[in-house]
Amino acid sequence: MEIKADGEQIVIHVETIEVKVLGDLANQLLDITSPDSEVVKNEDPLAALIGIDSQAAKPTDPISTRLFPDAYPDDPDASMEFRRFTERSLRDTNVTRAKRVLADLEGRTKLTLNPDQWQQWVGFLNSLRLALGTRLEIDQESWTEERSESDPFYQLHELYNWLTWMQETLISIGYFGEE
Amino acid sequence: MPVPMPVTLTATPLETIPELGLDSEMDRPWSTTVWDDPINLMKYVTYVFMEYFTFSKEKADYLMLLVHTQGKAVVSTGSREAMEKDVAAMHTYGLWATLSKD
Repeated sequence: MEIKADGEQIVIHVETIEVKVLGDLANQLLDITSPDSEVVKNEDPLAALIGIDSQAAKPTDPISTRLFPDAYPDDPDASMEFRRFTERSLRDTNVTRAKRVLADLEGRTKLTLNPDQWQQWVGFLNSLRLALGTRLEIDQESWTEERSESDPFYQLHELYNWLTWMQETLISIGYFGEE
Repeated sequence: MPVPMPVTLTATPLETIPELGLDSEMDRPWSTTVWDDPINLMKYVTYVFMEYFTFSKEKADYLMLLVHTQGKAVVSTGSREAMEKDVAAMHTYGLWATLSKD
């Protein structure tokens, strides 16, 4: 992969295998962030229309907890109320970003991102790294550690590092104008 | 991102009537705290602070380093409604943020 600026746009050259990997990851993120299909079927259509999640619930798995955190550290009731008003919209944003990435990747090895697409890619990569990093139990000490190839999470860790490089490069070039 | 706001039905919020002795939002404002996490990149956090709060690069860098070294930093203060909007925005960016009353 090669990332370069071209005026207001960012040009990314991707290998075919990278297109496949990013596409697979985007689909997995869609699975994690899409509002649960059963819930959507049963919910109040008016509430859904104005972005209120009538059946919002505190997530139980670590990845969802990180992507959809509590807003009030010591007040579960206020956190739940906040969740009802915001989580649907947060999920929708994640779905929109992942779909944007999938559309941009469609059959291409040269991507040209305008500022709006750039922003969606950076947000997508951030959510993806939050999900993967949580799965890998990344902490302050371990994130730079080299993993041995016998480590069962070796490949996932390599993938995480690659996504980190990609996000860092997109921000450096696309926002701070660095080479 | 739309965040529905509570509707104020009375012309004069109860908090502003001193006789009632309720805490005024002005006296004890709410604040938005961003917490350190090992995944979000330092450069990304600076970008978010510059982009969303329109802070200068210097101020955004300072707050980012505060989060990184102290474990957290207060990035905005104001009414509860305004802080809920800021926290929701931080969550959209993937930052770990909470609001509380000081």
